[in-house]
This record gives sequence, C-alpha cells and structure tokens, in this order.
Amino acid sequence: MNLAGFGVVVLVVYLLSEIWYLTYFISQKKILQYFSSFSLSLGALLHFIYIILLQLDLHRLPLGTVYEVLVSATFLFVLLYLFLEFYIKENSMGVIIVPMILFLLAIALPGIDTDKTLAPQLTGLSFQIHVAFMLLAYSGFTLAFIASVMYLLLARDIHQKRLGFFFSRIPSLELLDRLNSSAATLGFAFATVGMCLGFWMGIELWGNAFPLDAKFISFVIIWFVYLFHLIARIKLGWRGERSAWLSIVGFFFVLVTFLVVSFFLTTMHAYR
Amino acid sequence: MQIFAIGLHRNNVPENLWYQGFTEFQTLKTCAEDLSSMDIQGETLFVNSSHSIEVFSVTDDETKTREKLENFLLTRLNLKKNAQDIRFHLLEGPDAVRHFFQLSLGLEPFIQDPQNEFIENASKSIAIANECGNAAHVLNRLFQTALMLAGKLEQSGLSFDYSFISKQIENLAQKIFGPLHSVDLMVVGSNELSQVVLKSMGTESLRHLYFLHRSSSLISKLAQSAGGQVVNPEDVDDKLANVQVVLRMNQNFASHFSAAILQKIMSARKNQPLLIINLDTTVVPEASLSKIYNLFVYDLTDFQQHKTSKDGIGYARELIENELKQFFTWFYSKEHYRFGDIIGKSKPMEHILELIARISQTNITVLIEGESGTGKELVARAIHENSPRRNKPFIVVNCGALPDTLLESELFGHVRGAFTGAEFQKKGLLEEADGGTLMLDEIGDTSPAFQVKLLRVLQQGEMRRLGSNEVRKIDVRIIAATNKHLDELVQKESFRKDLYYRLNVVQIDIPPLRAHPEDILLLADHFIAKYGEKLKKRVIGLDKEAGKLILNYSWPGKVRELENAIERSVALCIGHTILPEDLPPQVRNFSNSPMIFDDNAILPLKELEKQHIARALRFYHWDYEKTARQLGIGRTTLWRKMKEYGIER
Repeated sequence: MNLAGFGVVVLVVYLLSEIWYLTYFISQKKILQYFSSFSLSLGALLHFIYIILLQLDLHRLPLGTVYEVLVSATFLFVLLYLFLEFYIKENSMGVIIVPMILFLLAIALPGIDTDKTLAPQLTGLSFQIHVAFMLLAYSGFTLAFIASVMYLLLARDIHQKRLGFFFSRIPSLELLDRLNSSAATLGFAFATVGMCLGFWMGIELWGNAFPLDAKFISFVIIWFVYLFHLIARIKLGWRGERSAWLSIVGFFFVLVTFLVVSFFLTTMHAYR
Repeated sequence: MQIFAIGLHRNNVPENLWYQGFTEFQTLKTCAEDLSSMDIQGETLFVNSSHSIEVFSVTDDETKTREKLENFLLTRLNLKKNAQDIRFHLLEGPDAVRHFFQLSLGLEPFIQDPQNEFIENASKSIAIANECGNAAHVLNRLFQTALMLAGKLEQSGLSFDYSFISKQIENLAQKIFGPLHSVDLMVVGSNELSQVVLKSMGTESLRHLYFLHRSSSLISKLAQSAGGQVVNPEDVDDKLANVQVVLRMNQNFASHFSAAILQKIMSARKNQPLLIINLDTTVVPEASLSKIYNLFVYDLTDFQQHKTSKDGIGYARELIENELKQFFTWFYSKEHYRFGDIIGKSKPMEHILELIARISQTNITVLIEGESGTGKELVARAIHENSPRRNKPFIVVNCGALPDTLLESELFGHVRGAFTGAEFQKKGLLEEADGGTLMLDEIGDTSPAFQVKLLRVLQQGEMRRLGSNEVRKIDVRIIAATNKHLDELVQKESFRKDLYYRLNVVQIDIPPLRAHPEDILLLADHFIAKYGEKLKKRVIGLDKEAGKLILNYSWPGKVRELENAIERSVALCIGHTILPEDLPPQVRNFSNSPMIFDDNAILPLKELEKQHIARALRFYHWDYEKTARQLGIGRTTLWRKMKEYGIER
C-alpha cells in the first residue's frame, strides 16, 4: 500500500472521531464518550503505523523537514491528549483539539517527500533531540491554550449567570486552571532545555559567527511570555482568567513562530 | 399614582426586639386605626406574617408616605431608639405587587407550608382596612387577585419543591472548584430557607461545613442537624480567607461583604476564587461586587427552576406574571390616566377610554361624534389632561353658536381697524391656545368659507389675524366635535371633503346611553355622590324601585338629562335613599306614556305588551280583576302573560 494513501486513511479516521466528539459535546450522551475516545485511539494507532512506515522508507527518524516534524508533532500531541482524557475522564476538549490535529496533518501530509536527501547536520542525534523537545514544548503550550479558552468560556458563563450550553459541557474551572498552569510550566521546561540544546548546536556549528535568526528571536519572546506566566502566578496571584489570557497571548506567538516564521522568514531553521 | 410595599423583615431587626404580638385581631385593628389617623393620601394595608411586617400602599406622593410608614412600623415594633440599625425593604410598582402575590402563594419567604398563614392574615387585614376606610378598590383588587391565585394553585394540586436551589448551588460549586470533597462551605446567618436548602444539599460530601451567626446558640441546632461546625464570630476573617463557598442567609456580618472589604479578602486569598451566594430575600445585591477579580456573586433570583419541571414553583410564577400583567393594565388604565368624569364599565365605554389613553400622547387631530349631551367635551378634556400639553390651555369654541364672521375674529383675532368696530387689536383663541388644545364643538355647523381657513391652519400650522399680513406659526392640537354625521354632510357637499379627511384621523363615536344601559346605574351613583356632596346631603343610593324606573327610561336627553334628574332627586330626597317619588315625573311616569311616541326606538310588540300590562297593573294598584277587564282579556290570560313576561309586584 502506498504511503500517501495510508496518510489519507489516517485523516479520515481522525475526521470520524471529530464527528463523535462533536455529537458528544452537543448531546452529552455517555455512550458517545466511549465512541469518541475509541475512534481517536484508533486514529492514533494508524498514525503511529504511518510514522513507522515513513521511518522505514526514510531510514531515519521523520524529523528532517518541517512536514515530517508536523507529522511527528501531531502524533505526540494526540498521545498526550489521549493520556489526559484517560486521566481526567473528560472528553469535551476533544471537540477543539481534533480539528487542530486535522488541520496540521492536512498541511503536513502533502509535503512528505521520501526521496529528498538531507544535509548531514539534520540527521544528527542532538538535532533530533532538539526538535523533539521543541515539539513537546509546543504541545504543552497548545494544551495550555485550549484549557485557557475553555476556562474563559466557562468563567464568562458563570459570571453572567447563564448556566447553559458551556456550563454543562466544560470541566470545572479549578481543573482547567490547574491544567493550564501545569501544561504551560511543562512546556516552559521543555522549551528551556530544547532552546539551550539548539544554542549549543549553533555554537558548535558556527562558532562565534552565530547568525541572528527570526525563529530564534521569536522563540525567545515566547520563552519570556511563559516565564512571566510562571512568575505572575506564584508572585502576583495571577490565577484564573489572567493566567488564561497569558496562555492565549503565548500561544499566539507560538502560532506565528511555528507557521509564519518557519515557512517564510527563517534562514537556518528552514531545514535546508 | 404608584403602588409600593415597605416592610421590615425579621432578619433585619435585632433578634431580641422582634415583637410577636401581631396576629391578634385587636392589634391589627389598632394598626389600621393608626394608619387612618396618619392622614395619608391614598390606600394603605398593613399585613404581618411570621417573618415580616409590611404596609402596602397606593399613593401619589410616595416619598412623604414612605417616611410616615417607616415611622409607623418603627413605633409598632418599639424600635424608635434603634432606628439607625434598622433596614427597611422597599418594593415599588410591579415588584410590590409580585411580592404580595408571592407571599400569598407561599413562594416567599420560603417556609414549608406558609400560604394559608399569609393569606389568612391578609384577609383579616383587608377587612379591617376596609372598615377603617384605608383600603379602596386598588388594594381590594390586589387581595382578590391573590385569593384567586391561591385558589388556582390549590386546585392544581402542585406542591413547592426548593431542592432545585440546592442542586444548582452544588452544580455551581462543582463547576468552579471541582468535586465537592475539596470544597469548604460556610453558612452565614440563618433564615427560613436554611433548613430547606441544607437538607437537600449533599452536605456530607463537603470537605468542611461551617456555620457563622451573631449568636451561636441559635445556630447550633441547625449546625448539628446538618453535620457542620459553629464558627466563633471572631474567626470570621480567617474563615473568609479560606473557604470556597459562602451562603449568606441574612445580613449578619454585612460589613464583611462590602466591595472594599471583599477586595482585601480576595488579595488575602491570593485570588483563589470565592463564590458568594446571597439567599437573603430582603436585599438587592450590590452590583459592584461582580467586578472583583475571581469573585463570583450569585443571588437567589439567579437560580431558576427548570421549565420542564412538574413542580409548582414554575407554574405559580407563571400564574403570577400573567396576573401581574393584567393587574397593571387595569391599574394604569384606571389610575394612571385621569379620565375626569367619564364613567363607564360597558364595552363601548371601555373601548373609548382605551382609545383616549392611546391617542392622548400624540398630536393627532381627533374627531368626536356623538349626540348632544353624551359628554363630548369630557372626552376632549380627558385627551387634553392626559397629553403632554396638560399644563397648557384647553379652550372650547362652540362653532354653532356664533355667526361666521364673529367666529373668525374670535378664532383668529384681528388687528386694529380690521373692520368696523375693531378698535383694538385682539389675540385670537387659536393663539391663546398655543401649545395647548383647542376644541371646536359643532364643527358641522360651520360655513365652507370658514372651513377653508381652518384647513389652512391644520395643514400649515400657521394663521393670520384678520386684517394683518403677518403669518404666525402656532402649535395647537385640534379636537373637533359634532352631533351630526359628517360623512353625510360631505356627501351633501355642505362640508368640505378635504377638511373632513384632515379632521377624521382618529374618530371617537360616543354612544348614547341607551346603547350601554349597564352604565346607567353607575352614572347615577356617580351623580348621587357628586350632588350629595354639593348639596351637603348624605344620600347613599337609589331605592330598588327607583333604580328600576331609571333603567326603564329611554333618556332621550342622554347623560345630561340623567345628571339633571339626579340633581333634582338628591335635592328633593328626604331620607338616605332616593325613592321613586323623588324622580322627575317624566321618569316616574315613563311607562305611563305611550311607547309609540318615543321616536328614539321602535319596540317589539311583545315589549310593548309587557310594558302596557305592567302599566295597567300599576294603574289599578295590582287589582287583577279590574286590570283584566280593562285590558279586555281574561284573568287567566293576564296571569299567563304576567308569568311569561316576568311581571312582578
């Protein structure tokens, strides 16, 4: 079976699981919860098989191009989410998360090219660790973002005393706030390690002539946003809505960095 | 005219001062007498229940009355000395009426089986208030409606279940703080609702349940039954900094819940969210609280019963809202609009009153048609009195009474030397009425030349004095009235079509009395009261026989004739009721005069026969023998006919 066709199958299974998540979110029928979890797990399994097949084809980890990174990152993210879903026994966030995965995967899959040869530094172990850590950081930030959006929706409903649609479907504010905080903190930790690793690699490669790069600069901004996120919570008591807004601002920079800067502006992060 | 309720809730009075002796009949009576001696303009009704005392009042001067009533309540409870500690609750307009209905149905103040108590007290109170002359038709209707509502609810067989409040508090706490076993809840104070809410809430699954009260002895029993701990009042700050949910049952420790203090508490909590639920029915929540970060404030009214629920609360609320709408439609149509001397409960009159209420706010030209003596001027005056122009002049000109030229100079005015005899310049009535209303009576009698000039005023809103070239802008609302049918005059071309359409924007047809006989006795009563006062005579009403005569008469002279007849009767009347002898002869002997000559109505033969037989019987002083002989029928036939027509002595 050819690889591209298998990729389409993965997409279709994810799409089906999104339909289950949506019907669950609206109807709140318990049984649909199992359907949605099961179909997402099935999607993750197929996604995993796809990555194995891709690796067999490439004879290396699929982290060499932006597209390969996206395919791996989405898998990691699905795995993370499934773990969370199992842990808190709460399916309602899937209705936002699965479409994001679908979107990223739909960008990534057409760009997969198994015949492309890569520059030698893009296959090294330290490079792959750097990318993996960055992906984990992104996943953490994304999760924090999703928890924050839900927090704000629910908090608005509670403040305005409309105990309706979101009220009955979103987990408690306390849980969302905790999730936001831990996901952001974890993401921050991965980002710190990944960034240091990248910096070290840069010095190895270019020495003192380390070039300033758009992605590097924008990531430093992200790092400071989440640093503030952490400090504000501990020192200023910024929990709840303010913390949620910080996560949303941070995620905005993540999107800019990951999509706009990666594809259009950067020089040394262009995977060439 | 406004309706409002002012009262004291038990929660807002120091415990030891709450006076219990109100249920006694004698106390109610002294209360009502006190109220009537206080010289309050309007109606008042004092009601007490086990949790509050209230006065419902309908008055024009709310602020003054409020002051008096506050004083009255303080005196009643012997609270004069502590006046500054006392907080009254005040409800106005629909809120006050809703409050009354809710109390009557037991929807407030949330006691298990309260409806009979309040409505019983209210029925005692209203009886006494009526006796003392404190209550009149508004409060009586209020009570009647409440009674009817209570009856309806009883018939429905639905009962109240307040567990929905507990369920929603639980839900809310879970949505904010996660599972209940991580939630600390503190109940501040107590009220009627405490038991009901705590019983149906899963208090045992809470991490901690605290009770805080001004006097801990009162609350310990409740704390014991719910499985919570009583908090020392000195630890209130400490507890407020740590618990997640606070239920405020009354105004105990109210100073801790002001915006400024809560702001401090929130920073002491490091912005840990706090949910404050106010279950005190007597206070309005402070709006500024909702701006404090991570503080969630809920009020009793925010907890809504689910629509589909089969329980009685939703049904009762629906009933109340329906009744409320009807009550206020009635209240405003009768009270808010001043209809002066227009009296009438019949369908056509109601329709006219409604029409007046609707058009009075506008500047629309109105055409009033009705036979003379039906009260066209009263209607015009009512329109003026209810319009924004009420403080400006209202001028009536009878167009039929003046020759054309004179009418013109009256209306438009003239400058000096405009015509022979015009020695001074004179302002016209149109100018006099500027900003106000001008009623043109008998408009059908005017000449076409005058009509053209009038049309110009209506269309351009401007006029010229006779002999002057200066055009003046005027703002006058024109109300035209006629006892003729203008459309017929238009067909005969004696009335200009364009003016007719200009005047006839809204037409009010006043029916003659015979078209709404149900108003005759009402009017008669009104005139009896009016002339009783004027002639300083205490006349209560019509004798039964006199009433029958008045109803029988055809009143060719309309309301005016009725008024004159009553004036005469009141003047002649010796006792407290008007007897048939006091009525004018034409009314008294109406059935004696042959009906055929009444050119206002053609009666059916049967009616004629009935009246003739009745008249003959009266003529012969109910001697059947003579009557039958004179009528040329047998005695049995007479009997049969009397039975058929319902003629009785």
